[in-house]
Amino acid sequence: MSVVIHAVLIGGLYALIAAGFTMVYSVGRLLNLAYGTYIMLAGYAYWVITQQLGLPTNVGFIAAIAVGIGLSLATYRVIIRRFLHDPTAVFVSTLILAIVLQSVMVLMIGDLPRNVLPVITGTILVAGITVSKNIMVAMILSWVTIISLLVFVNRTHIGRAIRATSMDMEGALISGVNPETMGLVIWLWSGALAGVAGVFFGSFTSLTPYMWVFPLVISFAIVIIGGVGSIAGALIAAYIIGFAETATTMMIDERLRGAVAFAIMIAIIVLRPKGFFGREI
Amino acid sequence: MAKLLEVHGLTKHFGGITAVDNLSFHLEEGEILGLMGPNGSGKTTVFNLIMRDHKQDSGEIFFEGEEISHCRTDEVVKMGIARTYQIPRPFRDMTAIENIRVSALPDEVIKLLRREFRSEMYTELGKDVGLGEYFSMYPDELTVGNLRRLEMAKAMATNPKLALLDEIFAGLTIVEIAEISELIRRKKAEGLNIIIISHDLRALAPLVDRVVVIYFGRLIAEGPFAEIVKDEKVKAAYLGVKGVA
Amino acid sequence: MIKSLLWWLIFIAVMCTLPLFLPSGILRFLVFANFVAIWAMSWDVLSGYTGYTSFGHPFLIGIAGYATAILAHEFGFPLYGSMALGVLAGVGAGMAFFFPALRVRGPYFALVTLALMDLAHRLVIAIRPDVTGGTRGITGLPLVVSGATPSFYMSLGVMFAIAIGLWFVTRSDIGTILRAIHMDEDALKTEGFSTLKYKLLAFLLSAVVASIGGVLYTHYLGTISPEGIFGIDMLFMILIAALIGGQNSIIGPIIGAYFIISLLQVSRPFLPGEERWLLYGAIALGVYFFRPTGFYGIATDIGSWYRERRRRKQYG
Repeated sequence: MSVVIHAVLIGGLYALIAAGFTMVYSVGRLLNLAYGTYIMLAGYAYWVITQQLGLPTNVGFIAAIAVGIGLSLATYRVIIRRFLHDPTAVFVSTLILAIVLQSVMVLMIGDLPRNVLPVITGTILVAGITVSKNIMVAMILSWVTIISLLVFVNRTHIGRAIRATSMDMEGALISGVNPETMGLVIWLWSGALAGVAGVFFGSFTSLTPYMWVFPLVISFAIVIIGGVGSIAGALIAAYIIGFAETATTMMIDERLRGAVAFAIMIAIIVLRPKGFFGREI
Repeated sequence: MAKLLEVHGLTKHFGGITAVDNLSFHLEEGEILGLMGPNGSGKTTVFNLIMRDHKQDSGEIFFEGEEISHCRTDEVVKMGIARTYQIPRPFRDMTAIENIRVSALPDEVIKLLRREFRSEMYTELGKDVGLGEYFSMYPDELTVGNLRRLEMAKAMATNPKLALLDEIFAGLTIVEIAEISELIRRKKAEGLNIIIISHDLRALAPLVDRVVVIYFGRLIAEGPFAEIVKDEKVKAAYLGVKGVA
Repeated sequence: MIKSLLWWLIFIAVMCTLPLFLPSGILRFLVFANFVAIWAMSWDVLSGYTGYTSFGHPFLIGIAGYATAILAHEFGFPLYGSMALGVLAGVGAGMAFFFPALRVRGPYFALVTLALMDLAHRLVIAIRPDVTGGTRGITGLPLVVSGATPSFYMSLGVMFAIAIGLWFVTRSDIGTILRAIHMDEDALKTEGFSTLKYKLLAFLLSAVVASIGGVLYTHYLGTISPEGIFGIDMLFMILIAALIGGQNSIIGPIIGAYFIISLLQVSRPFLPGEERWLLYGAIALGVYFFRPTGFYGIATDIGSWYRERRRRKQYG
């Protein structure tokens, strides 16, 4: 039972982390390898604001989201516009960018792990198991986020325009969709989501300049398992990974965290490259 | 007359859409077959299935009497079927002649290592389709007409017995259509079998021996061109009347 | 063809004379440059040519390196035996995990390989640390050569042999097909090519070369550690060398490797720590933005511009 509760919570956290990445990859079809660093930097921003400067958590959140949005839009403006039709170049440059950002953090703050205090402290009893309120909030937030994303993409005008663009750029252009606006909206959302994820992920593990790799690979595994192009699929995949990981880390070996996600991802790639809900590529 | 290509009960679904629905038709040796139907009726999907770019959900395909329903794309090409794409897909960082040359290269590692194939060997193929002056140009410098010629040349370079031409006339001027038609007629005289997908009834009329009409993935008419254009079902399909098939 | 071979001979002749007037300190980092060149070339033959960008070459290098280290250290295998088995291990692990990933396209492949590298890093630390040496790694391995000058000649010789071999293959029509795979793999299948065959070939070349580099490097240093071989640093160095030097050329990676390692040395007294990565990253991004074809691309551009000018002068 404890396994189930924890799995659900972890799944929620992973979904929150992957949401922003899913936006750009599933909808925009671009791989932004610097996404993990937005989460990392947003986490640091939150830490600086709340623990170094002692300001309230709301301000911390705003700072984190601002950092996420700022970095995301900057990446979009500078890198994506230069290499618009060259996916290889995009992910090579974003990888280099990620490492540059990592070095900047190491130089500015050093690579000692920092502890971020949870957004909400304390624990709560759920079905007889003690869980941290912090992760509960993260999970609830992730549901809110993903559901609003789904609503946005399927019900609103702009959302549908974005979906159209991802399916058929030429057709969308002919229909009067402005790709510039689309890009801005997608990347803005992605950055904001990264900001929120940064706050919670930071309190889940400790802050180091190297912590961007894990969210990146988890996000990617989620997109692959859930299927490219499917936001709902990503949500489900996050929980699959959450369950698999919690089961193995609690019942087999703690150090296998991360390894399970990779194993599933590799299995999916070999057996069913479309993922569970992906569109035919 | 022997049946060169036979398609039986071919069906393909994409998600909730049935692109090809229990389709059966054949191509006799020595004929040019026209594949017609309004937009979105599944014609290109039929080509994709024959070329094994997609796997059918059910049905069989036979070429020269042998079943090819489960082959790979390159195996089908080596057996003698070639295709052109509706939207031309040349290799964008290679010149026209280099494009043709790649098509003509053998799929054998040892032969490729030996570097024995000079570009000059492929000029005949290029001149044959009328690209003679454009050999050293890159695809983004070529007109639509020339891109379609390039598609033809690349298809011919694999030495096919059957060529699947997808919307070969789309976007061409009257003069270009005449030139491509002439090329097609010449190839037929040389022994090539052809299936053409086209909307252009005027261009198709003088070329095709027989026509197959598809609507929503289903066969609704088959026969000589002159009869097809008088067929009520076909007219309704093109004009958008419901409840035809 | 002959002209190019001449350039290669000049290059190797010049390089061979270096130990005569360079101090051993500099020779040692040139040894490292040669190894980076080997790995950058191995990356290029797969990723630069087919477009299947790999972020996991350290996986291949590391598996090979650890295999030979464990065999030599734990089980007392003779040196050349363990190195040969190390190469087999690298290629074998590559075939088991890396190669199946080639069924999927570009970005998928890249991140799966990155995941593999990270996975190997964790596993080596977590599983049987008594054999693998855990986070500290293994030390005290038998050396294949010792001394700066012999090491330099060894690394130079291996690098050169690999360069000629790969250069020959990629300049043939195998290279043409690999490039075509990058441009439009499905259209290439429609031209009658079994693209899997060529991806396999490129992968095998890449894996063999990377593994050879891995085992030789391990027995040159005499140690191996997880951070050193599976770390992002190693990946970054190989990638930047290949990208700055010019991917899709085999020669470019050699240029890039020498450039980046020289930069490392020159900047060491001024920027001892993490700043170097910032510098390389910034330079890499800069060069890549300006000319994605790298230094080699710039050199060939200058070459054709020069020839064009001469042609114009001749014909007025």
